[in-house]
Amino acid sequence: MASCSVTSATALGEGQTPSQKREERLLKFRDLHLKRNEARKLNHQEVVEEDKRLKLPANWEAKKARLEWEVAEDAKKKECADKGEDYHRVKLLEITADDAERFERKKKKKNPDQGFAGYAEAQFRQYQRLTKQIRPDFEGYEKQREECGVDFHPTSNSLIHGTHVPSKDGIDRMVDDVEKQIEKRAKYSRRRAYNDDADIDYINERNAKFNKKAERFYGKYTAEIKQNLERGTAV
Amino acid sequence: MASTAAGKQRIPKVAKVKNKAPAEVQITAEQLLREAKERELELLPPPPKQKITDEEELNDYKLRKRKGFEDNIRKNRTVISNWIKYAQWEESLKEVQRARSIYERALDVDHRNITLWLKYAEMEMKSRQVNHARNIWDRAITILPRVNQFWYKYTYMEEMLGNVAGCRQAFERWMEWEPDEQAWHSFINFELRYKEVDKGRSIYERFVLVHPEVKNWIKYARFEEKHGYIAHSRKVYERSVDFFGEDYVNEHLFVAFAKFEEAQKEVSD
Repeated sequence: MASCSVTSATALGEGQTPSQKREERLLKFRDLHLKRNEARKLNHQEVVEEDKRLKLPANWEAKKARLEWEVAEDAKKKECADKGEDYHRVKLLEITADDAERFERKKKKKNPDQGFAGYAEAQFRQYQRLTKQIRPDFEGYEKQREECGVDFHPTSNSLIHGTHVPSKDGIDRMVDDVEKQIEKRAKYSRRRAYNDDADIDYINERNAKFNKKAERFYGKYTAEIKQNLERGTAV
Repeated sequence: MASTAAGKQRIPKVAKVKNKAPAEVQITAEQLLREAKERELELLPPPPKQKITDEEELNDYKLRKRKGFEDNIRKNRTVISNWIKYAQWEESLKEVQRARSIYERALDVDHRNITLWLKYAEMEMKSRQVNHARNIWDRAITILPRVNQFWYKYTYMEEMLGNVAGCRQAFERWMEWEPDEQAWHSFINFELRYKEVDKGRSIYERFVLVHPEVKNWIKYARFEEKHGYIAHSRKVYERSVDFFGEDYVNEHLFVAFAKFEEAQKEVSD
């Protein structure tokens, strides 16, 4: 810093008195002070801002973007209502073809449980679920292709039956899968709450369950008859 | 006379009913049941919790339980749940040989019961006894070939073990029985999982002959289309038109064929 003040003084001219030179240097010095203060202030402001940014919740950016989008949507809806157009049609005209494809794929079928239809159907449903989750082991597949040769595509009479020795990984995979199936099965029936003040029409627990079963199947048909009996007379 | 007099004194005389009219307040059946439940006559205190400390106590416990199970079976051998509970208990003790013997005895009682076979095979699979499990599945599919669950579970097990050739052979054996359409589709999907499109094609060929319905021919053609074999797809449509001839003209086939051709023109132009 001292050197540049010296050079600029010499650049200005030889006819500068020492006091003027001193003046200039002091001015420069003050400028530098001001600059430093300015720098410190700006730095401090940045630090404060960064601190605030770090303290924000994780997805503030995402939330803000979503809020802004919602505001824009509302504005557009109002606009459409004012003009008398259908908001949805306008929206549909705007989305591109591959976007539309993506949305369709995202909606993919949920396959809700329709209740018990039969043991075979239930097992088939389980089979569908399990096979959808299979990640085939292509390496092992190629290895087996090499080992088997022609028998890789056997007929029902091929002599490979009973010759396969599974690897430990294979057995582990099978056992894990079986255990997962058993776990899932255990959760199928849930414990029902006991209704204390429901009428007692049974003589022991087994009878209670049977009565509940009968009620399930015949309840909707016998409701009227029961009411009549309760009342004592038919309506 | 003396005996009867003595007899009458020992047995209290039943009170002679004078008024045979019904009482004003009659008790109902529900009230009887409610009162009976409240008295809790049949509620027993729970048995004391016993901890098994040494081997002798363990053997005693096992003996008692086994006797209990065998008694239940002797009371009623056709109730399969008795057998299954017994076998599951032995399995929980890791007594696999005993469990096997119980399952075999149960199969002697009723070999057509599906849950027995399923539980038996599951026990072998859980105990990592692969060849035993294969044997059980093999017997099950031989004795009850029309029960689809066995086939599905057998092929799934072979696939899990990584024995794809064996899985294929099981499927081939199944297809010999010409099962329902879903079974064929499961076979085709299995081949497609390993990207064997040619194998899938050959299965479809057999499928449309076993289940010669229009919708299956259309499915075959669309399968070819999906995998990009347009010429094959067209050939399939043409063959199906010939197959059904003039007697079994079906509009769905022609509509599907037309849609396919239209789609082709759109793609090429």
